[in-house]
Amino acid sequence: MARCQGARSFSAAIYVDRLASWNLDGFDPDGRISLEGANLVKLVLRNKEYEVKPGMTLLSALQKINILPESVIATREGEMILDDEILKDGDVIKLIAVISGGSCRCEERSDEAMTLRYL
Amino acid sequence: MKCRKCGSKASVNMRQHKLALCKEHYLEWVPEQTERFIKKYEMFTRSDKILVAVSGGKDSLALWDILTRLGYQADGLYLGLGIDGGINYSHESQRLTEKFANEHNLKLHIVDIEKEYGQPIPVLSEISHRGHGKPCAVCGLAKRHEMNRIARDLGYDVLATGHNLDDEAAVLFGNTLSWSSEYLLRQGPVLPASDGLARKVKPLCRFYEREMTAYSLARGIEYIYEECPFAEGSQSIYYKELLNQLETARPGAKLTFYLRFLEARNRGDLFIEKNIERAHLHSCPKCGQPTSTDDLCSFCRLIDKVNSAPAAVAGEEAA
Repeated sequence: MARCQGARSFSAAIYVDRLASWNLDGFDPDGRISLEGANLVKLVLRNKEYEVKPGMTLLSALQKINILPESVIATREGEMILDDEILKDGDVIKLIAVISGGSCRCEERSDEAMTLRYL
Repeated sequence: MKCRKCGSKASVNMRQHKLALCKEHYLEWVPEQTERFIKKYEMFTRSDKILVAVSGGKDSLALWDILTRLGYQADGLYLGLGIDGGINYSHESQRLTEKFANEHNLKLHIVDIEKEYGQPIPVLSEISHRGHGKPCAVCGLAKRHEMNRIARDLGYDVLATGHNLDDEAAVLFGNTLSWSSEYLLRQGPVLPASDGLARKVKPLCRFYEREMTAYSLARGIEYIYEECPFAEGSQSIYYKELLNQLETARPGAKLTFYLRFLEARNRGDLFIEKNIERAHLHSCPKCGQPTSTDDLCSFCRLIDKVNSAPAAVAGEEAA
């Protein structure tokens, strides 16, 4: 019995520690609290980094950070992963942007249409 | 998600086809589909000499890789545009293109715009005051001119570009918003050779941009990841983002948009055919390429304008 009480006390201590480390300014728009020091999943797109909680799917993570799934390919340790992949503690997901391209011909001035078509 | 062919873990999921494939089967599927499109649209045969316009980006290098894997005679053409943008953009893209050509033992033609016409693209744009402050219009014009010139001068049967479905859908979307009938009637997987214009084909026009990225990654193709410094905020990228929002909500929307357009155009449902008559074409007296004007073509006029600009201005811009 004493051992059980001890175990409960230990759990409570961890809980209190985590409470103390909560960043109470860190409420996100959904009302969730970010948990500093906890394991997170990092998603990297070009020079931007995002963090989400582990346990969610890639699709959920992309939706949470407002990135269109159609606009990126996700890789983990160099391997492509799909929307239904469950993200784990400590994962670093590299997001590769797929959209490229500069001006298209539809941007050309209409009065130049003929000369552009035929040089 | 499992590979439909072998049941192992899938690496690529194409929601518009309801098809998921592992890396190995995806790398087989892409060339098979490309071959199907080449035949469906009668682009070229294995006896044709193909010139592939390569920029160092994922699409054009993937195209060159696929055509080579399929056994076509495909040489490359790289145009040095002289764009730096603080990231050595042109140098890096040329380095990656040359690296790919060397590793695959392929023939690559390199044309440097500055060596040919005295100034790099950004300076040509500034001196000619064309393009509303951005060099994209001059860049597009110069690329079309030079690709056509080289393809004809070197006797290639066809010029192949790496335009993917997102490129085509974005152009189609823009031209539909403005009802640019002439552009709409001209858009398609094949632009036949005529009046001094080389035959142009787009073998990747039915692949999503995402699929070509996946192909390049799976094949280990090293491509320039950085975007052209002048592409930021461009209209075509904005249209692609809009279309991707639509695609996310309705898988297959981009593909349907493009394919239904091609079907309607081929049936003659879109516009009156007289719009595509080329009744007033002349040869440019300087370069010999077709133009709708009576005098020099737009490109030669651009170069003349640059060459006649005060030397001090050109020197300042170059510096």
